[in-house]
Amino acid sequence: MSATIDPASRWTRELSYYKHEVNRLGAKLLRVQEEQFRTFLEARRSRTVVKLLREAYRAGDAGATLEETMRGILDAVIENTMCDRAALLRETPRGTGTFVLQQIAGFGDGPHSRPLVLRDIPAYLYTAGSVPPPPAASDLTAFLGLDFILWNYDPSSGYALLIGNSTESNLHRPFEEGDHELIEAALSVTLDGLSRLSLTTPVAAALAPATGAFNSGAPAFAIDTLLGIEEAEIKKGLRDGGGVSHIIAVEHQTSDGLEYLPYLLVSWSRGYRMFQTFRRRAPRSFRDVGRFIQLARSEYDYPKSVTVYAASAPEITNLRSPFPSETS
Amino acid sequence: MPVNVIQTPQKACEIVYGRSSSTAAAVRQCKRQLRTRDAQLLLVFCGGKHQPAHAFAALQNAFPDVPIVGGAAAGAICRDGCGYSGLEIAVMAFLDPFSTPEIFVNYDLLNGEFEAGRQLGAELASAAADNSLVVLFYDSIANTSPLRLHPASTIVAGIQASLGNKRVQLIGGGLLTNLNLTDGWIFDGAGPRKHAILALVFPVAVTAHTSVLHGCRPVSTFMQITRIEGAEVFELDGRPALTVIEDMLQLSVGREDRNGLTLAATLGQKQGDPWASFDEDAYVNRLILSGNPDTGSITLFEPDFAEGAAVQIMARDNDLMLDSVRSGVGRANDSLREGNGLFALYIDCAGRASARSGSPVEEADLVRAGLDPRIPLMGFYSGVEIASYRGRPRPLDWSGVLTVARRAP
Repeated sequence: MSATIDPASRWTRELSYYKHEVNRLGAKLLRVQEEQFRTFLEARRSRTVVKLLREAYRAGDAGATLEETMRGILDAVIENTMCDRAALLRETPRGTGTFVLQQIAGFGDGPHSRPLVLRDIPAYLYTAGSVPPPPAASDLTAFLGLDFILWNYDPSSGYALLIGNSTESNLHRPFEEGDHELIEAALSVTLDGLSRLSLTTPVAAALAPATGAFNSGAPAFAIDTLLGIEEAEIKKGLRDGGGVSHIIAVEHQTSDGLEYLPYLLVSWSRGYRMFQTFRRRAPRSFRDVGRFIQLARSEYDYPKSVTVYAASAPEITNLRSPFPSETS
Repeated sequence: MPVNVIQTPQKACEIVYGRSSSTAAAVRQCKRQLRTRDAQLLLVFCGGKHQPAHAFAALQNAFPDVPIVGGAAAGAICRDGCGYSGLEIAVMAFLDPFSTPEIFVNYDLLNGEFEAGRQLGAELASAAADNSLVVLFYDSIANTSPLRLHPASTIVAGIQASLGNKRVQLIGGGLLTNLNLTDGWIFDGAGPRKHAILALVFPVAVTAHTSVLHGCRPVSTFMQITRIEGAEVFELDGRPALTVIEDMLQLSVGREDRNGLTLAATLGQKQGDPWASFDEDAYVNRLILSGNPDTGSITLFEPDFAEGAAVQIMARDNDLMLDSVRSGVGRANDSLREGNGLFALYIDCAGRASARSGSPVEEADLVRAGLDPRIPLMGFYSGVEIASYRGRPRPLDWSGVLTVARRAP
């Protein structure tokens, strides 16, 4: 005798079958999607290293001051690694395990007056919830104020980069061994940026404790010897988000008395550039240096000091002078 | 084929963007780019790494005597830049008094979201004309330990209770410092505030068109919520909700471990005919905020699902998300007529960002590139988005709310 299946029972079983299959396929889809997402994060890490190289170099290339460059590089680190906080430290004095903060950015980026002291200095270290904390981890997490950190130290320069996250979920994935490449690249570009900066601006020289490792000689003003700068270019640069990083003025004796010729260091090009008239036809000097300072304050949003040098000052021997008799 | 020629004879606003870990530097970048010195009001979104008091002081110093509203954002979206590192500052300067909104603020969120909404709604009822555009911002985080959010659905319900029959075009967003739900704050015109709701009521001279952009697809059959208290779902089909979801995903939910999946799946409630073909617009989705192994429950972003509701597990679908953005931007462009575009506001769920969704393309970039270039665009990454849904305002998760403000005919 063949069994007859009640239609209602058949539909119930069929419905149950399709429900089961839908849920099974849905679950599989979610898991595949999650695996795909992890692969995406891996790929993103590789891209992050490349982006970091590009953006950090840009920060160092902009003719900025030491502080602006360090901050620009840390901003690039934060933006590309999506971390909560990043700090650049330097072992001072060398060989003591005492690290002094050079720059910090991110959440709670107030000044840290207390130095970081490490008995044994790890070259690379990370913390994650899934692995026991290595030695020195507690000092580093306490210093940065975050539980999950990534650290890299360069013994040849004494510099170290420390980044951290408050959590390992949502936006942040846990740090892992593979992040060594990322933090090492970030520290390398930082050091390279500082190295190049120390060769191009006097500000770096003035902050020698931070960059002394790279200074090879007496400070000198680098100058773009071909290019002057006129007001229209400055205003355009400011509109585009750039800034005037530093201004000096050189005092010249003319037949009519003293005149002051400004040289500007701007963020969109390298080296000091002579202030010139429309279409760079002639140097634009001032009899009253106060007038120029007023112009710099009101039009160029320049809040810092303007140092006035005598034409014979040794610090400005590199500067191109429009007055041939005075050029050294 | 007709071609829309869009002109803005009188500029309504200017929007500028800055980015730096130095708040002062980011504000300076914004100030340099802003051509006007005659702003009526500034709407500002600050990345969450900026300290609220510092940011407000720097803005006030740069733009004295101009009221400043807005608040924290997980990131900002403008024509000139877009990011979610927490270092961004976006400023929208309203120039034209005839399209500048009026400011209303309520500071009582901690005393009850419904009552705070009701009080604000009473003010809106008398101040807003019918069909006015009203933009709402509030700080999402009520408490960090244990984590509790200010639920947008309760705030909106309070506002609706006072508005009665008055219809306004209500859109808005919950403000967060980042996607880790660390904090949130608003600027109320006088300074940074917490536990407050800010409403911007636009004059009748401004009309609006809103597109809601989605990106989730169901991956389960319907399940019934058999026990729920507020935003905490205890049971689905009579089983512990956490077990149901973890069994299905074979991954843990809402726990801080390597497989944490808090934002990987959402619960969706289909509106209208449950057996109708898939339509992304038919779903209200709720992010899963956390899972509690002790109670077997999951907590949603909003407490607006009820016992007996049929829900599905939803997965984000990046292709769908990008298609949804393209079509939404197309609708926004189509809504513009000659000379009537004033500005666009994009309130974008932070989870849709590429770093969180895994999308190979930033969907915000599609908005920036696709929206008519003559319309100034201001956007930010939010926690919750609010828009009119089937005739009434509702909070929406994992969505983008793109509003184009236009000059009324």
